[in-house]
Amino acid sequence: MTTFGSFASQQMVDADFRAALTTDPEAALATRGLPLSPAERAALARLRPLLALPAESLLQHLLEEPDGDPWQWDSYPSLAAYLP
Amino acid sequence: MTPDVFLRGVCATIEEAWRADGASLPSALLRWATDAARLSPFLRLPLLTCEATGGDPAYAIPVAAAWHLLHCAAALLDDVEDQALEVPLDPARVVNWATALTFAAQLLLRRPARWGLPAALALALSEAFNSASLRVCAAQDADLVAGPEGDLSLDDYWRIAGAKGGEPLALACRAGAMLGTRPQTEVDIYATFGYHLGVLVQLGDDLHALWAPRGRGDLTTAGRTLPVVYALTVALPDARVRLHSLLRRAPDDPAALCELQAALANQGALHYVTLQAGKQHHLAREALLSAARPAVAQHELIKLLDAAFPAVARERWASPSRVSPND
Repeated sequence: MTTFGSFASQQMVDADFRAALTTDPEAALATRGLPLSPAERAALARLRPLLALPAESLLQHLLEEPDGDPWQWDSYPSLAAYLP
Repeated sequence: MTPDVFLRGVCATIEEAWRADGASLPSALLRWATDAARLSPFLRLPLLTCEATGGDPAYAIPVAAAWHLLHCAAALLDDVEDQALEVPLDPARVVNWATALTFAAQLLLRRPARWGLPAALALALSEAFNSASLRVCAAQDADLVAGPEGDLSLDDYWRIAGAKGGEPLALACRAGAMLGTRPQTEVDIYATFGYHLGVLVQLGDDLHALWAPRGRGDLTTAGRTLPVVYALTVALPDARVRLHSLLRRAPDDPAALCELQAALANQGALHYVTLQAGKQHHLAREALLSAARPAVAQHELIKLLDAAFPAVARERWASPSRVSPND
């Protein structure tokens, strides 16, 4: 598992940690000795406002589709509908 | 090349391959494949990566058509393997159709003179298509071995999501970039972009399967989604047992689905998926921006990336004031 994956799997169940993370991500992570790659750190920092949301509000943002249908692998039409 | 001209070219190319050498496959399948091309958000990837690397957009038409046919074949086989075919589709016939789509894709790549492609490039494209397809098949096998309820580790999940979600779009972008540039390092940049874009799309799929399912089929395979794999990884033993029970009942029991959704959220699954989506978005964007040739096509690729998972699109969270905890 990646460092980031290890971090997330250990810490995302911890609501207190999540709160600290949104206030000062670097400090919160440093206390747990969890070094992140530059890419992971950038993603984490950028999403702080989103991650500060409680689950219910976060879900609304995650499911919103401002520009039409969501991108999905199987968003193709039903083949069954094409059969005689 | 405008999107309309490109789409018409791709559809005409698919029809041409479909009727090759006197074959008379069901016209319904051809109509389905061309309609799917019109709806596919991924079809433009070979065109945009070709344009971004300075290639001739006309070359992207047969490549995109071949990629689309292969993607259609994979979608059909996935439905067969997930036992998610709609009535009256017959699994044996659908497997045969998927095989036909695969051969039609190969046919397009094997006629470079028809499209004015250099033979060596066509051969390299064919190799790229076949190699990527083998990696997808291997991941699908691992997915099938795990079974509908999962028992996947997070490592398993990322390996499978990378191969099943990342590889197809990496191929679409790799193939397009190969039409415009020779240096492998530059081709790899676009393949990396496509790979992370594909994983990002997979994360969105997983999220919708659990919180906005389109039918029972989405829920019967929910055990293989990231929120569930994550929650089963971090949950205490009692909670794991409960999650397994809810997973079994959710496809036919709305109350169980609601409880499952709440349990996943309580385990932090939504936050975990958000972080991972942000990471994939970041990696895709950084890969693209590292390309040596900024172009209009690159801007279009960024727009596609943002549309793939709007909640984590870069500009949306530039200012912390955009969202309050009480939002």
